[in-house]
Amino acid sequence: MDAARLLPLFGVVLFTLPALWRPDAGAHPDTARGLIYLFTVWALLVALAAALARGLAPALDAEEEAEGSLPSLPTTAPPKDGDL
Amino acid sequence: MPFNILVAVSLVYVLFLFLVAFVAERRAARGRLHFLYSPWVYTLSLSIYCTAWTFYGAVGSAARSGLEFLTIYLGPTLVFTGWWWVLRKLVRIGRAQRVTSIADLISSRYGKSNLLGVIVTLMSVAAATPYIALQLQSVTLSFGVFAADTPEFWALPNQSATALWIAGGLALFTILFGTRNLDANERHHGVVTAIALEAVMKLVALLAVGIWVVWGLADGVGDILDRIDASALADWQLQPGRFAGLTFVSAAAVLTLPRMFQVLVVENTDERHLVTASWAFPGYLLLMSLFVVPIAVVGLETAAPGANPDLFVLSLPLSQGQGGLALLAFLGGFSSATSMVIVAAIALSTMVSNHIVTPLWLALARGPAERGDVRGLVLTSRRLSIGAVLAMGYGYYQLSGGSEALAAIGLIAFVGAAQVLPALIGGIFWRGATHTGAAAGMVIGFAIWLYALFLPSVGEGGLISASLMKDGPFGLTWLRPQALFGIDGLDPFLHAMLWSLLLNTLAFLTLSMISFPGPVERLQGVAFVNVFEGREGAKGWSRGQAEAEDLLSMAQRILGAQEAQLFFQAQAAAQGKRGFLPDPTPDFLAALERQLAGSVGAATAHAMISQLIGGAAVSVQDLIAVANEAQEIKEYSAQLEAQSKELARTARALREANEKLTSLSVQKDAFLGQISHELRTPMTSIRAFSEILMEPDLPEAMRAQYAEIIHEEARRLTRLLDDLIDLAVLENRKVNLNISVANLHDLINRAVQSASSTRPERDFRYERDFPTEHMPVFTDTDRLVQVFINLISNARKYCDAERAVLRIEVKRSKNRVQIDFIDNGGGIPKAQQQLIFEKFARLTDTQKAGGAGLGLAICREIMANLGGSIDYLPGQGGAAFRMTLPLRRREGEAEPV
Repeated sequence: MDAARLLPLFGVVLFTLPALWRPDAGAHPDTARGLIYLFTVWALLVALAAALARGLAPALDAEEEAEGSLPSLPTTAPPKDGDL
Repeated sequence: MPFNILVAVSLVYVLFLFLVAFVAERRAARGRLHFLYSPWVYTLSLSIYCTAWTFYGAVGSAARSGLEFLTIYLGPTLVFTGWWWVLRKLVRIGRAQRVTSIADLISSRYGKSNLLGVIVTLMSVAAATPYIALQLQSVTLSFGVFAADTPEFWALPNQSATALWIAGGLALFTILFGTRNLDANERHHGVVTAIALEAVMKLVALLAVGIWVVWGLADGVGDILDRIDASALADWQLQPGRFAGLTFVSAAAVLTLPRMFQVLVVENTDERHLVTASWAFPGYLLLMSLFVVPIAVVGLETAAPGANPDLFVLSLPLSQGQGGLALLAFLGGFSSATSMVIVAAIALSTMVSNHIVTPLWLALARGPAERGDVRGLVLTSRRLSIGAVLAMGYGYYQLSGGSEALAAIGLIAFVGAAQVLPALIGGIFWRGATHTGAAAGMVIGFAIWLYALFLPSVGEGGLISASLMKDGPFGLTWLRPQALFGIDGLDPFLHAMLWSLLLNTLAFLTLSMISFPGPVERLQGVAFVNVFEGREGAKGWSRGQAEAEDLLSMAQRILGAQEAQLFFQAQAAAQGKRGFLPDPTPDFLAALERQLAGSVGAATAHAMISQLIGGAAVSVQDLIAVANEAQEIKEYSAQLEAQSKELARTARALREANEKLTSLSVQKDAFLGQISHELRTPMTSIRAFSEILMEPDLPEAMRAQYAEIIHEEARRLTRLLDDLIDLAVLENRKVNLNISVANLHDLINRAVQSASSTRPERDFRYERDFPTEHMPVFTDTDRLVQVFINLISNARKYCDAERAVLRIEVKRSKNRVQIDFIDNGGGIPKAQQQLIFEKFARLTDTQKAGGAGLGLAICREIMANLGGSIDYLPGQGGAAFRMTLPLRRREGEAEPV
């Protein structure tokens, strides 16, 4: 779960890194490199998120079921006239 | 690619979408649409984030400003990979509070204030209108691309006519499939299916064009990368401010755009779908933008100078003679535009009808006594709003003349929508956020957005004069729209975003700290911020004086009779009570309010209930409970509470049982007394008259008359004994049923005819709906008719209205049929409702009734034997009985004794 919290921060850092390249870019155009870099980071994030999702799914299932059982109606039927 | 084929194909595609939506609705109605509940459909429906602005505009944007277009997709990627922070909480709150729109969420959080709902609604409409216009424009332009090189005959006579047709078709689709049910929490199956299909369509189209460009026109990846570095795109310089700002705004917009909120939160059925969407949606965005740069680069190389780069996706395949591919791309763009407009129209119309129309109507038609169905009103207003939203989009398109200025509107709309962000995030994470702060922040942010970004965007000399742009209003240079407070030289977009969000947040925080939240607001704040603590939302209602019956009749007007009765029945069962009327406990009231909020929004639902309860909404105890932080530490108190609730439920059931037992023992005595009495009266007269008959010289006429009386009394005696034996047999479930098939309509006819001998002199009218009555029933028809006759005769006997009317309503649900007998008399007092099904229960005196009071008792036993039930139905404006019956009775289905 902590990993799930940290993942977007990781993404923010990696996505803003290109902002620092500018000074040393010089005359050499590197748009293609930038493109490859951004898409690699992106794919990495998707893969990490998918891996995390796989790990978290059982925990969420359990949570969902625990919730579902709370507001359920009483299983014992209300008394009927015939009972008496 | 002949233009007429294009028109034909798009018409076929539109028809296909209508068909898909229709079939999905049909199948969902029969409960056979499980794939709709898969996380993949949820993820695909999120793809309405990618509008025509993405499909066409991303390539144009890449051609103009390089990799900057990526920011629009990186923002949402960050939000979704970080779903654990915000999205999970939003979805949980949305489900717990039955939120209908983003305006509803904000209004509900800040004390169910409708003012905030109105503010958010107006902002959303203002921001979305140009965006809808942009979609219309994109479809019109793409038609134009095809029309460009066709003979004059096929050239579009008028672009605005095309836009009008599209807007009209979209309005029709949205009204047909977007307003089927009132409860905005329910999913629009047809719409969701069509949108999922369109999501696949646009992805396939863009990928197809991309693959063709990379491996068809160019020589694979390496060649494309070389071409990129050689093209004009390579001159692109990253501006850190814009890069970060755009990423932030798109991240905010994915949360706050009304249409995104609609698919993300309102249409979500299962929180676990988010887990899949957390990586699958960023993946979808990645695929959508993968080929954008290659298409832009190759487009720039091959296209004629001055060509519109926004349309490269279409014009590139077209210029290379790839008609089929161009057609596919056209359908992709068409899909992107239409799906966005449909969902936006649904979201906006829900907001407009829940926050503007319904409250207005409630304010004008005062008092809960006002009759009439609110559902019709809300649905009509929703349909009209859809029409109005699309008409406004079309109007804006006409006004702006389909100019290039529209292309920038996507980002402008994003910044407008983002103004809700501080109130939204503050509302779900900070208990101290208040109504005043939220309202002030949003209004200030919105005003700056209008002044600094929206109005200037309409164009020089449009709504803002050129001199004002240059010198500021009244010559105050520090108020120039694009250089507020003298900060000059900033990118206009970045400038407006910075100031509007900064001052918005500042006002929100400051005013939140110096103002105090009201009671309801405090409770809602806790319920929102602590939504994961598993605590029930604040009750909000102390035990009111409302009668459950009044609440039921109000709920029926909003939810519909069927649904309201089911809800009340379930709530009563949860309290351990039978019948339709639960006690108006705070728990019940809160549940009812949530249920209503799903249809008309939190603010309206709250107002309607407080009308009935009479104000006193929050008790001091509730507030103390909230203020008491120590309470949160005691984790097990929740468990204790659950246990004590269970105990209370059992105790209530026991108490009812005990009361019943006591009254039954009293009844037993009374029963014996009654029986002796009922038997003795005819016996006495038989004995007396037979003694007279023994006298020798009695005239013949008298003898005949006395014999007649004896005979009549003996028959009455037999009838009584027959009834008693009948009842005993029925009660022991030993009755022999004579099952056959019959038409329900005929059975009712038979009963009406037989019952007409009861008080035949009476003016008595029946209200029936013949078509619904025709259905076969497999049951003991004689017994069923016996019940009908009893109910009808009772109505004929006891209905005290001047012009008595008996309404017979038949409704079929799955394999059961439900038959209501409702008259227009005074009804049965609440205290007696429990008793009427007991033996010898009579509300009036014996003589008048002329029966032994066994009728309804027998009816109840017959229905139990037939596997159905009969109950008194309160709140119908007269005596009303509801029978339910299985259409086909199976052996051993009788209710267990």
